[in-house]
Amino acid sequence: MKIDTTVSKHIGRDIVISLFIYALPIVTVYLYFLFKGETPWNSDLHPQAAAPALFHFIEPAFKNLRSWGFIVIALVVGIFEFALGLYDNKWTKTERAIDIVCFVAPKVLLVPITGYFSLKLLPLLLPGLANYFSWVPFWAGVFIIAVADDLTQYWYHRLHHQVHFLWRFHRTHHSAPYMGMAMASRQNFIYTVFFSQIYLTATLIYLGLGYAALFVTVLKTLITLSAHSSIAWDKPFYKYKILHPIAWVLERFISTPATHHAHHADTFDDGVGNYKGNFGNMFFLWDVIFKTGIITRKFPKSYGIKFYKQEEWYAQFLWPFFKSKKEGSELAADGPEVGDAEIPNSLATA
Amino acid sequence: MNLNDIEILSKKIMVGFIIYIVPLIIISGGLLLIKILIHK
Repeated sequence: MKIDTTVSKHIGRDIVISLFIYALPIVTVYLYFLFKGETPWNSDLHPQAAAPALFHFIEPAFKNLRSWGFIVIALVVGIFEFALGLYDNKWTKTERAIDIVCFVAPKVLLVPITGYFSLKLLPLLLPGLANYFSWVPFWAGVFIIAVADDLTQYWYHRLHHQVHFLWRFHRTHHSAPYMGMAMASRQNFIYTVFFSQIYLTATLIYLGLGYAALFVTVLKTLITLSAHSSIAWDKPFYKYKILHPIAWVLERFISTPATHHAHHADTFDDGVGNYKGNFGNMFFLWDVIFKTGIITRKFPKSYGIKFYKQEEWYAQFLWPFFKSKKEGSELAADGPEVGDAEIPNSLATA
Repeated sequence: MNLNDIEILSKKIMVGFIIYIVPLIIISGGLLLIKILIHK
């Protein structure tokens, strides 16, 4: 496993910290029941019934967003971006093919895979444990899922940038020389299908945290979609002085277009780009804790990767099953593992 | 696909599995522990 020594040390330290962060919601639940003297597992009350009324009210909207709403939002905003000329002449035939295949294929192929995992494999591997933790209060379920899902994705994402042999599985997400709604789903299929947090959340849903998961995953999708979008909703927070305190909290807590666009920049040289940092998806907080983030409140001038060779769509979508014919490409049969291995990983402080 | 690709893919799946299983053990183990520690 080829990896820079300093980065390796930081990864080791941050993994240990992460173990405590994963345990934090559990410790909170323990202390809560200890002080209240309650044993909810002896009660028939379902945590759904104990959820605040607001959540019951917004539940149908969240369910619709999850089933079809996000697809429509991504399509509408994507068309809007295209109509405004966001992609200019950068949306070549190859880019179009990658964006469209990456948008459509996972929606068709991933559902049966995750469905099989949830409905067939989990009952087989964990028989009799369906809803075993349904006694967990709604607020605690939200806390557990938010940390578990997003911290796991942070690590999955970060390792694909910092561990050389993993980079090529994630490269497709960074290869486009533009930013927009299409980027949210633009991934190599192997990267998507082995997303650890999908299976972790599915298992926690099976164990009884499904109602909380609905709200967390929908909010997470909203935040990650908007962080990739060209709609810079965060700009007013930087422009007006009265909003600066809110901006300060917001940009450290969740991923904003500014911090995530910086992650997609093609250079560090402009003082804005941080393509070897800013790994957070829903929460930017992980980047702050692990010092992998840079906050500038500015947007990069150019996006993508410097060593991009406009590889064929099939190589970008299905590497290593299909290789690129482009000479010197990272995705070619004899290509380098990482094109910019000499550039140290960013460890700047957020 | 050659042997090197299969090795890379296997290592990738292994890394993904570790990232999946460690938090799952902490969370489910922790919740089980709560039931044991606050036993009435």
